[in-house]
Amino acid sequence: MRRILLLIFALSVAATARSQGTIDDPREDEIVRGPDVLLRGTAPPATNVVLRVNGTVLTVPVAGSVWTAVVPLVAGLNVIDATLGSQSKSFAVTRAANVSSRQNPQRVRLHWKQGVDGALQQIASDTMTKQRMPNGAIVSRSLTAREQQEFVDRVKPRVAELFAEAFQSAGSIMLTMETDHDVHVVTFTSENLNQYGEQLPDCGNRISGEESKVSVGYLHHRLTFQFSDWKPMELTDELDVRIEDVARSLARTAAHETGHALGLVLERGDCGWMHGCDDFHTCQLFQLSNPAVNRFGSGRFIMDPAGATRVNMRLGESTDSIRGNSRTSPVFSNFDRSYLRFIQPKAGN
Amino acid sequence: MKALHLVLASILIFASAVHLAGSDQAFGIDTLPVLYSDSSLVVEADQAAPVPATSPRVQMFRLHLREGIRGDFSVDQLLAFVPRSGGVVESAQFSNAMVFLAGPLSQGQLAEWGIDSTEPIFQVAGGKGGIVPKTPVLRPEVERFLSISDFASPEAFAWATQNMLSSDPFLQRSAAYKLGRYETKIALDVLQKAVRSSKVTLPNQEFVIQIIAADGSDHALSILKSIAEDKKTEKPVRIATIYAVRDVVGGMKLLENWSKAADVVLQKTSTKVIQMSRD
Repeated sequence: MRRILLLIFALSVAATARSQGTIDDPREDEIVRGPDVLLRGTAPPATNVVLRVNGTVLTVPVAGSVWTAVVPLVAGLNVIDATLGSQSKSFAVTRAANVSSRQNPQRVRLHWKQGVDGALQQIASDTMTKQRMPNGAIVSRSLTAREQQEFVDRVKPRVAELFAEAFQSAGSIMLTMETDHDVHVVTFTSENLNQYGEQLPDCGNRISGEESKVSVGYLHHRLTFQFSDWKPMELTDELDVRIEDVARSLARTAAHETGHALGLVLERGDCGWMHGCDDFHTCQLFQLSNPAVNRFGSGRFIMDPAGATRVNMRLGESTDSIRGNSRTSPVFSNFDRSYLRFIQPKAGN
Repeated sequence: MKALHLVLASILIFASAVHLAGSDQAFGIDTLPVLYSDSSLVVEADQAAPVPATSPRVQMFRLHLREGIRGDFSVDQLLAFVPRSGGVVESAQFSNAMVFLAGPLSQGQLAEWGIDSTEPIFQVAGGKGGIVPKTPVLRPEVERFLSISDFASPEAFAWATQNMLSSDPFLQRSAAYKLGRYETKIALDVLQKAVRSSKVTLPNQEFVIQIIAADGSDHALSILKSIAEDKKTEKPVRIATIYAVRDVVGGMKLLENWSKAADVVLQKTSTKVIQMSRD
């Protein structure tokens, strides 16, 4: 009996798959060059695929189980409504304009400015002021000079690791120690800039050798002004935990500002087709108005507006009530990633 | 000729910078609690005049002050800048506005912004978020907030509860941010009422949903569930709630259930969110 039920289930899954279809190329919410773009996918044999694009309706025959169509797109977001077998899908494709691919990888140097070690030590000592004893009692704690130095020595390489991870599948971005004029510099400063980081975006990464700022001083200010805002952080956290907290917050800001330096996410001008909003980010309003895209994640995405990035997301924690079993790294959205791959293609792409 | 080219290139770069900005500020930067923490001075400006800045990264203004609201000052005008990365502002925005200012900045801070000046300089907190248009209900409520010495006090909770349903969107948002810090069932219930209230603007309803989701507790999840499943709730609010659920412990299971629901909004949106989470 059980075997029969399994067979019925398998047959129904197969029938569903046959009656539906896919859009395989381009991938959802990726950018394309245009103006005419080749779409490719699968659909049930002996059916037609119906595509509605910018007011035009195209009926495309399915050959075998594969269909292809060339559709004209406008610059910016295009939503393609497709009927594939028994299924209807809305599919987002953005046609890029006014940007070109660069031949060389974009090199990035992380520069820890003089004085920043002191600011990092201050963060460690001001946010780890309590200790939980084996009997459960909580007592005061002062980090030793050695622990503070260990904090600094381990945060810096961890920031570099996390920064590299953020760009792993997002174009050819390489960390370097070189000081050439075309190297993008991310400067970590102890000064409080009254914001986590700062960078003027650059459509198409046209300007060489820009400098992004990451304010360790501001992170210290925010952490200490009202520590309770930073849950699930606790004053009793161990050194390892705090190193990961601070490294994740700094790496995120470094990746965010570098994203701006590479051109994300412009609202107008040459890169207006990116449909940025909320001061050059991807925001909730755009997401809700365009359900076919996936560009806003309340901090899940690196280019989410900082004002809408929850503090627990800066730590890689999914909620502020409890520590998770593992941390989650923020990522560039599909759209951002495809833009970065477009302007900074990796060899073989 | 080469010099002319250089000048033109500089102008082009500067001109593009004028329209390009991006920064990383604090969550809820456009709320009173965050502006309070990031500022030392709050003033009511009469008007502002743009002043040439030595750095392309900032816009500089001379503010003519009408009144001080917080902090010590004995001048009737001061220099303040807005980082371009926080959004470009027009001088008219300062007129009859409450301006939250950090500073005066140290030489080290000014150097980071590329500003060279011997005159004391302030920075508008929160980029353009620190310029708050004065509405009839706003000023007394801001003063009331600034007079609260203990933000864990019943007085502070009362401020947040009352202003959650204020007619002023800035106060609504500020109250929501504050209520999110309490992490109590009572605070979550006030936030739930705000999502369901027609007095709260749509962007603020969406902000409140984010605050509830960040709480991450079982009670928060049950509130989000009831909002999303309530067909009387505005569709954009329901959709925003379904998106927010994915970040809460137990949220993915709820999304799986909704993806099989007869309700079209629940079914379609949760299917999309599940698919996005797998990408």
